[in-house]
Amino acid sequence: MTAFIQYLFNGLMLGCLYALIAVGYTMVYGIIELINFAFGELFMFGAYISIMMMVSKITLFGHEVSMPGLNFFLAVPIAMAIVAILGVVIERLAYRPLRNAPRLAALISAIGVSILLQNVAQAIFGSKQVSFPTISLFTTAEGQAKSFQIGGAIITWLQVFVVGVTIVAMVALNLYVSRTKMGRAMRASAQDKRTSALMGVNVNRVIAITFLIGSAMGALGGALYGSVYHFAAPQMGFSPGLKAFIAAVLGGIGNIPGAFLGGILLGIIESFGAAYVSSRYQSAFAFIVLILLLCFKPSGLLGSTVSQKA
Amino acid sequence: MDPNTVPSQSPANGEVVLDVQDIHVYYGQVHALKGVSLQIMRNEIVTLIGANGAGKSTTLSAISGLAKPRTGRIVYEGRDLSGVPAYDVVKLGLSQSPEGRRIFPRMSVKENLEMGAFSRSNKDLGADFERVYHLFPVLSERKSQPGGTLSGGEQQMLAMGRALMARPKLLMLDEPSMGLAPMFVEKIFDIIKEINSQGTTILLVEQNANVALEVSNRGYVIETGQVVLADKASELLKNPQVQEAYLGGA
Repeated sequence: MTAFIQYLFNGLMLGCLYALIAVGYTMVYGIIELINFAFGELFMFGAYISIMMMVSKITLFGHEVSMPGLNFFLAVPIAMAIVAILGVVIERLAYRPLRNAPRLAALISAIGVSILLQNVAQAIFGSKQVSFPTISLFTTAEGQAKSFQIGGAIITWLQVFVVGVTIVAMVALNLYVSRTKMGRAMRASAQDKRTSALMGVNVNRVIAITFLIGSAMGALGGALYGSVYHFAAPQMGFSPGLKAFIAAVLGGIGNIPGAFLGGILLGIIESFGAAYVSSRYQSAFAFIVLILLLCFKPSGLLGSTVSQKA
Repeated sequence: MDPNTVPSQSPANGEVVLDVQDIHVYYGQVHALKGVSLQIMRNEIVTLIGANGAGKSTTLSAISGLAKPRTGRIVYEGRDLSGVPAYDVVKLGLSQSPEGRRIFPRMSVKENLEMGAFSRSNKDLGADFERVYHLFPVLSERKSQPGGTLSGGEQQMLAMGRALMARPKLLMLDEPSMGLAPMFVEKIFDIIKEINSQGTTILLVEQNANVALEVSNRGYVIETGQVVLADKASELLKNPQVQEAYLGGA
């Protein structure tokens, strides 16, 4: 039972990290039908920029540079803001010119941006991984993670924080999309861009805001991931990015609660699969889930197919 | 009909709200509008009639800013609309119930109507909802139902209601009778007259030319991207060529 609780909570936390990237995928796909593979890299930049803000010295382009050494809780919002702007710039330069091109062209552009960003990160921060500073609030004086026990399972306060922040972010995002005027414009643009324009919606602006939000969420995920696993590396976003994409498909692409549910399910499946079947195949479980899903319920768990009547 | 014989009849006296001046619109290689000109006066109902693919809907798209004319000008209340993006055109008081209705299928009826008012800075939509629900009581019954689940006729009413939510000065209706049961067609035209009498200028596109001309002040006949005839609606109804081509025989 102890092990079960432990794996469940580990999976839950991992799933939250996936969910934070998955919302970006799902929102962007919902509106422009593009799989923005670069979200994995924006996640990575979220971790790196948080580290930059938190340390007092860092090596950039092989030169040591002084840094502000901010608190984690200040560093992460700054990283989110910077990455959000980066996301909007990417959309403007790499995707908007291809808006009316065949969908494959934009997808290839997304893969290109993803590789480019990995290489840029490698050029700036070096190819070796950088360690993520410990967060004093979640660390004991002896340098151990502060934790508590439930049924013998050890749960760290950092894990609780990750889950809590994700839930708050998801609820806020869902309210934003369902209740605000801009949220309504997002949903309208996802359904019919031409008619949205006719209603007075500046669709390009809506798409930019979608990238802004998705990128900020991805950066938050990256910063939390980095703080949980204590590192950042240029390739760190690749695998979580792919898993998050699966999570988005699992939940029903285009659906924000679906992305959250998909992320959590995927995290838990991976955690249990690794624990009870084989840890070597941890990542394989995600893809097995994807294949099964595409065979039996391609629209995803919460995906709907209300079509417009002719 | 020969485009060169277009009578140079100028519309009735009044203030020109919309002046479309010799616009040419291309879709890729296709020359969809080959010099369309028309004027609409304040408080008029004007109908564009013509066969499928003649360019009626393209004309509305051009006015709304969705299709950009390569040459020619569209002047609305003295303001040249070239370079004004579609999302700003509606703010000027031009709204459209588009071809094919284009309801947002996964949004409720109420949200569809709220989208109609998106361009307005005035946040108080209560009176507007009331007006639309009064004109189309069925929408009030279906308020919280997704737009995609409505019948074709109900969607048509929703599209009209949505366009009204913008409080347009010029309302453009593309095939408002499409998909409606015959008994509703008359009702929808009564509603159009009612909207007009409340002070909204109306530009109609209709296949159902007979009924449309009945309620209109003037009409334009469009063929293969050109205006071939422009006259008072009552004259068009009497015109033998129009009768033969668009009104189901003489």
